[in-house]
Amino acid sequence: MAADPFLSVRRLRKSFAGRPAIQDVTFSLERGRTLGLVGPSGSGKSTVARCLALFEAPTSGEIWLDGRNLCALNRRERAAMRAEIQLIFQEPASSLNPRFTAAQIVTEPLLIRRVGTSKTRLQRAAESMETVGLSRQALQTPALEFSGGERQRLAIARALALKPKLLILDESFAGLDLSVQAQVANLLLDLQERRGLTYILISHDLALVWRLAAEIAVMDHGSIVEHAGVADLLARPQHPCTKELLNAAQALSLDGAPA
Amino acid sequence: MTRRTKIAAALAFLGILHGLAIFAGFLAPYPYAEQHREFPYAPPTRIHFRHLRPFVYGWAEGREDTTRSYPIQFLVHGRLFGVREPGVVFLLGSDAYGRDLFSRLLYGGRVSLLTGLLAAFLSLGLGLALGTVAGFHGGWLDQILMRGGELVMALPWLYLLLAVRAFLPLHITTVQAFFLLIIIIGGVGWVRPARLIRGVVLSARERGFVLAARGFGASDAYLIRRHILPLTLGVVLTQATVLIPQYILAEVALSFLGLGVSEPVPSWGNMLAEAQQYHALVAHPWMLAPGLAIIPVLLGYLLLADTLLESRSQ
Amino acid sequence: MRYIGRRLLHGLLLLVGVSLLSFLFADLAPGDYFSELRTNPRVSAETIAALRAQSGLDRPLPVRYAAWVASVLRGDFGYSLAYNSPVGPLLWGRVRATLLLTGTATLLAWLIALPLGIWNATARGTWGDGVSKVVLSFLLAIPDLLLAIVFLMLAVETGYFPAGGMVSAGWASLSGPERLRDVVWHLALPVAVLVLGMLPTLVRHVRASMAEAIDSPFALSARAQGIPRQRLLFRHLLPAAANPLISLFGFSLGTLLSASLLIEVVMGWPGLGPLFLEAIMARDFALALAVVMLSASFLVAGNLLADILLYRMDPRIRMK
Repeated sequence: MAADPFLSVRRLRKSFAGRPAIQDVTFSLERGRTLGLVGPSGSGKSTVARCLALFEAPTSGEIWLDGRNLCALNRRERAAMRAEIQLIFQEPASSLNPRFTAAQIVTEPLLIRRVGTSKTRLQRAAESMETVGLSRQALQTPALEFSGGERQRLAIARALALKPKLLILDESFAGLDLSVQAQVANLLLDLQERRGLTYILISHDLALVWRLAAEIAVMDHGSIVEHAGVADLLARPQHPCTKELLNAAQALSLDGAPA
Repeated sequence: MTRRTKIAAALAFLGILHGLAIFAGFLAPYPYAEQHREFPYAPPTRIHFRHLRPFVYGWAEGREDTTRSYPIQFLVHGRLFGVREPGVVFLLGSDAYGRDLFSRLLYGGRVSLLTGLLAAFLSLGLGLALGTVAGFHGGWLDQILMRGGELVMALPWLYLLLAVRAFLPLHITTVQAFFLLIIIIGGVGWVRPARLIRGVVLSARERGFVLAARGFGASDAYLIRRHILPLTLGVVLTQATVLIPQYILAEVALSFLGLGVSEPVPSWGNMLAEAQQYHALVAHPWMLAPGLAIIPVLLGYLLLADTLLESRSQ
Repeated sequence: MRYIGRRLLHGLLLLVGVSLLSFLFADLAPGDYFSELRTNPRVSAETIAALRAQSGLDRPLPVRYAAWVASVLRGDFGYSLAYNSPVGPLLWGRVRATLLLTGTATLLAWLIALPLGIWNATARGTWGDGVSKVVLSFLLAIPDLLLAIVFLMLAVETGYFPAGGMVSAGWASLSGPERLRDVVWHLALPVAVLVLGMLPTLVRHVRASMAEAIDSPFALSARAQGIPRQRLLFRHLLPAAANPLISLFGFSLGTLLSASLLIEVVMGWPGLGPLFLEAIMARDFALALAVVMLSASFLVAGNLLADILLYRMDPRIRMK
């Protein structure tokens, strides 16, 4: 039976000080798939991310996750819902408190929600570390001493602590070396397969989106202008904005020489 | 010298100075109010040694009386050292009433230094609380606090202190005066620390890890306690090194003018007021000791402040 | 222009706030001008009440405040109970004396601090800079009070300088130039104390600003272009270093009325300081308030001036 999609966003609208940042954003996503959200700067991608992650209250519209309307929840329910949706920020350096140790970072969500005892939390932290490919010996190392890629892994480990179903990656790969990007991408694909995680990937990097996403939504000036499967979109772009994006991406092929 | 060494040295130095004052009751050979009317303005007693044992001579007609000697006794009457009557050991001489200046210097230091410390504690505490609230919540609360702060800052500091002190009851006990001084000096000085801390909190509030923690459902109290307050530590410490000496000087000024701690309890301020007999002062320069004692204290805090500041800008 | 207007209004509101706060505080504070009389057994409570009523101390706060504002606008600045006269005339001579003292000291301090600080900044790390740093730090650690007392002691001992006061007895009978000489002679010690007190912080700030300008990228590129030192210093570096110094200067001006309180009292200079002390000891509220308001006005005006100067001199701020 065609059940309701896992994530369904309907006519989402958010205005700041009277000016709309996003308007009538509508899309849906099945569980275990990745949606790539692309578009020029200022097109509203981050606003969508923040609304989905419950950082902002939308001006109007609905967000349905796993059969529940996020916009209709009261505070307590919303707080509980935060466990299901996690946002991975752009700058791993700033999203982690540099004075915290890896253990403190990864157990923080559990601590905040008072899950388990400090012993069990530490145990889960060690497991999370290994899941993302970091050694559990590094638990007591301060965040400062990790490299960029490792910090992003820590951020992911932290995000996974509460066993979310939906992960939003807002430019999470910017600023990482290509090889590190590849590693983190592999990690994410692996996690998706093993745990059935659903991703929304916001990125400027079309190559990355091609790699990770099953479908792409293109945003421009606050609305989604095109939404299709990855292969279709890249082969037969419809909207001028999409075409522009593709052209810009192709102009810089891998060796940097103009096409 | 590395930064660490400098800080340690300054702290050790200050620790010794404060320690000397705190243990005045033990280190001082005389109680601060004990008068020896027969020895007004006596010069510092010279210490002589016989077979490595220290002793002093008697004092008669303005000069040492070598016919009478008094050995210095240690750990007597609960004090570190002293001499048996009628000998006297005035390490820094005596004042007009024959009171031992060294003892009064120690006791006075206790008052002045402690006032500075406690007042700084108060104003930093207030500044921390108010600055955090203002920076974190913003909005009308922030506006009120900052406007209020502006009002306080519009008044010249010493004028404000004097006026507040003078318009409160003048005839109060020493203990009351002591605490009143602390409350006034500290209560007036919260504005600058509050502003600085507010700045730190404002920028800390927007940092990624704070937003991330919020994303996990962290309460405001958690965010402040766990993430934001540790970031204010640097500012608090540097402010402390700047405020404490200022407040010590404030106590000295107030007591000097008669609005602080008063006789017979010594404070470096009211002791300096006694030094204002200028004709006598030339002949008895040891009366300047309380003023001179302030200098190493300020130097210590200055070194600490400079070292802390230069590392923060790195 | 609008910026200046806004800041001016802000300053005025601030002063109004200060005056209101002072009235509130005086009301809350136990006791007033006549409180001391209570300790005198020969004065009855009725007499005190009558005295209070006579001087209007028993009227409600808004009435007294309005009366005070009216008095200010008239130029009287309230009525001093201790001196039995409007406050205005009591102030001006004192204000002049204080300004003479602090003005001279501030000018002198800046005149010394600027070249000294600039030299230090250019000669960083050398022996001269090191000595300068140590001496100034030591100076900073010496309390003004101590300096004043020591100087007075020396004055009394040697007789080279007067031990207090602004003019000698019989000043009125001296000729013009002799009068000037006399005042300068009396000024010397208090100004010395103030200058020595101001120098360390000033020099530090000048040195820091200059150092920052010297180290800045644009200065380095200017030097790389071969611009001669003099020109570099005056046309490029000084203007760049000027910003924080301008605020400092404005603040210096703002403290002209308040910086010398302690020194005036100790060294017997007949300025606002001793007057203020008298007033608050006697709980002469009007007099005390007038002095406070005057000093606060200077503070506010000093900050305002600094803001305006910065605004005009730094195009970056105007862009904001």
